[in-house]
Amino acid sequence: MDREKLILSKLKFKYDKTDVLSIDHLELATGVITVFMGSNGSGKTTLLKLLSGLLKPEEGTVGFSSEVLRKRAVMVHQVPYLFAGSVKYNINFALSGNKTGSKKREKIIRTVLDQADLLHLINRKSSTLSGGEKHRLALARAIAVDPEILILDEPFAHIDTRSHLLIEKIIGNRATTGKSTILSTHSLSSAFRLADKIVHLDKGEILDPNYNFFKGFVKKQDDRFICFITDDKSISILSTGYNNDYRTAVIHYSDIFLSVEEIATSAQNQLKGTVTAMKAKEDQFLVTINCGIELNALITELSVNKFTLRTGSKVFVNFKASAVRLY
Amino acid sequence: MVLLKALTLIFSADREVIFIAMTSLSLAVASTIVSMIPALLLGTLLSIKKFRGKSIIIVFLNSLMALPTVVIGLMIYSIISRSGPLGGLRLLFTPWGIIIGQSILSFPIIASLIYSALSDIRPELPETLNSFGVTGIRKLYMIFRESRTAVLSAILSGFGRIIGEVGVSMMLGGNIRWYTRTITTTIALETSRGEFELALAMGLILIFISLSVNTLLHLGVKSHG
Amino acid sequence: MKKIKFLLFIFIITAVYTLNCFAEGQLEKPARLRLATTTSTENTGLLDTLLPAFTKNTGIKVDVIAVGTGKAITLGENGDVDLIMVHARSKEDKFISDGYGVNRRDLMHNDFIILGPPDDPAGISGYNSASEAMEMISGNKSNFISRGDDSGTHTREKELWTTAGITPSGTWYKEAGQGMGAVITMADDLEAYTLSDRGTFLSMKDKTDLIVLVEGDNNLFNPYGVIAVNPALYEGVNYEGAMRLIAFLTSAEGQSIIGNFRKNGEQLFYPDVIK
Repeated sequence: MDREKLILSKLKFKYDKTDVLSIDHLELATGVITVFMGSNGSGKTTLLKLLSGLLKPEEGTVGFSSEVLRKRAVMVHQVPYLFAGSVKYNINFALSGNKTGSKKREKIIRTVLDQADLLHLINRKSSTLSGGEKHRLALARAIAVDPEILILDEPFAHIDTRSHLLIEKIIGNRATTGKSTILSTHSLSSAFRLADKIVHLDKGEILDPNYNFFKGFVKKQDDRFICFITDDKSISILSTGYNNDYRTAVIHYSDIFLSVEEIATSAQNQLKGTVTAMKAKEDQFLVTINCGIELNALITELSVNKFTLRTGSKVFVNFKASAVRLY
Repeated sequence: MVLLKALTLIFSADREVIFIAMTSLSLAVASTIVSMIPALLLGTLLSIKKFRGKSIIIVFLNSLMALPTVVIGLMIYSIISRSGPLGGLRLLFTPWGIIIGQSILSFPIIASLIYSALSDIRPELPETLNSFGVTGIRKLYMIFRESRTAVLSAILSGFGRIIGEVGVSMMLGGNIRWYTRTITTTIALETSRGEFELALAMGLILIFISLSVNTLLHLGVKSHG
Repeated sequence: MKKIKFLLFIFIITAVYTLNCFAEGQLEKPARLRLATTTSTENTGLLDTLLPAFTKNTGIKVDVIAVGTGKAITLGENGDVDLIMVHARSKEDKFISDGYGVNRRDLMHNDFIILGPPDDPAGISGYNSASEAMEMISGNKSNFISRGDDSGTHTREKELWTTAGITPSGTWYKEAGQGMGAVITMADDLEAYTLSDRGTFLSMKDKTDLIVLVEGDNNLFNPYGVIAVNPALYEGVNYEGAMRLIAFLTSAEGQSIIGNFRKNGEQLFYPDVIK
């Protein structure tokens, strides 16, 4: 199914004359979970505000006009703002813009509060909630209006583990409804677990990742290994693990080595493929190999020369089962 | 002794004392309401919009706060006196004249306190409201609601300045018995007549009124939300 | 929430009630009459006795604005009042000759007195000439409190200094810029001399230690006049009402009320039209 895309193009944003954001081109699919990662000051919050229409880009575009985005998106801040009043008031207020009947509204309130495990606190004053509860309430409030795009700024910052897991669960549930969620986080594991796409930001610019990232599911192979199958079933790879819930496999570029012929090795995964692209990266080469799926590997210039690798070369891709990290 | 006299005055329910107190209170309430609406708007405008000349307005408002009541009284007098430009409206020596003067008196206080109250709100509030598609009057209402303690004290500061002022009421009201005589002009009159006890008793009534208004409103806000 | 709505309700009711009252007052306005007068006639309570009788006869309500003679005249000049009742003949004459006032009538009189502390440091007691007494006060540099507010009493005091050929200055001469009552209180505290109208002094007699030291001089005669504001100057001046009040004040009834007015058993004002 062809989905609408948010296309960010030639985007620039400044605070006090210094660039905080500069993105030449970025396509974000809708209906999926997109995660922005990066250190503090990398421009994540600014980008999220641009995507939710709260800020207008100074140059370039973010897919739609700010007015349209503001209609479609709801943003939850890193330190959320809760209205003075009860837990119920907060959600009721968010819903008051929609023309929903009071019965239906009551039902929505109970549903989202139940999801956020706040139902027992429905009449508590928002100011008396704990940090984790406040985050959950802010998320429940945003979920209640069921926006096309949900934007969460650091939803896992400074909260307890239970709240963290609960929020991940809520985000995961939402993904099944086919609506977009865009969030930023420092938590790599949460990002890998949730994201359909991860974008790394550094000093306002997009950074290339240094790992291969697949969504899929696992099947038990035998006592020692489990088999990870990508969603389009184009390839299955072996990994070590113990859990059937894994949805993501991550293989670092540097954990992959190439060989020009099939070799006997302790690495459990050996895939045949063709080099489709080569890109110099400092003193190394980023080699893209199509072996049913696209895999990237970082190879030294020395090795590239030794095997005279070029686009079109037939190679074998080797990596250990333990190099496949499942989330 | 003075306290006793004040209490006697209050509890004897002397018709004139009650009339004077009611006049003071209603004039102050009316003037506060009249000045509150434009002051809220200006204060809000100053805190949320960026525009040229904004800092000039703020400096101007702050200086206006220090203006003596008699100067404001004098300025309004020269306008609403029958020899002044608005003399035909016959506002001088009526409660309306007092309301005009007192509104101008409290306007800069309320506006600049609202401005600083709203400047203190977290930027997440307007963004959250925007995000939920809350705009216009509802957004304004929520911003006031969220900073209601500060908004309330801004309004009460305006009220406080009005209920305790004597210059404007004296000059524009004329201290006319059974018409524009307020607590403060009565105090001035009784002091000039050497009736210090009566003057102090009226002062106590003023404190009592101001205390009641403040307490009531603060209780109201506390119980709210 | 309920509470705040209730409070708001009370607030609005109060405001509406007030505005309603004021609006009613506004509608009545054609029947209102504005009289600017000196503090002495208001503070002694004379007007509280006189005006209800007038209102009863005519249905006209009188708003009394009690200020010094100087300010009362200014209010008349600006058309802010309909008539004035003052006591400074020289200023009254100017007010009329400048075209601001019409139909002046003598109304009543009492007299000025020089007050001072009982021990009388300047030794003016027993003098019959006011200006001589003033000379002694200035020669002795005894404290003297002047009204300093351009009122009728202040005008008379300046005239007395002029007669004595003295330009008062120095720390002993204090210009208060306040009403008669406040000045008597000040003089009492500072053990100073001052010039007062008899009416205000009598009404404050039980609150002060000051005593009357000089009285009876012709220069201390204090006549009150009443003048209507010239209706040709400003539209809407209630000239008819003003003339009716003047008629009442100079009528047999008005004059007898003035003559019979007593404070602490003493007569404060003497009617001049019908004696």
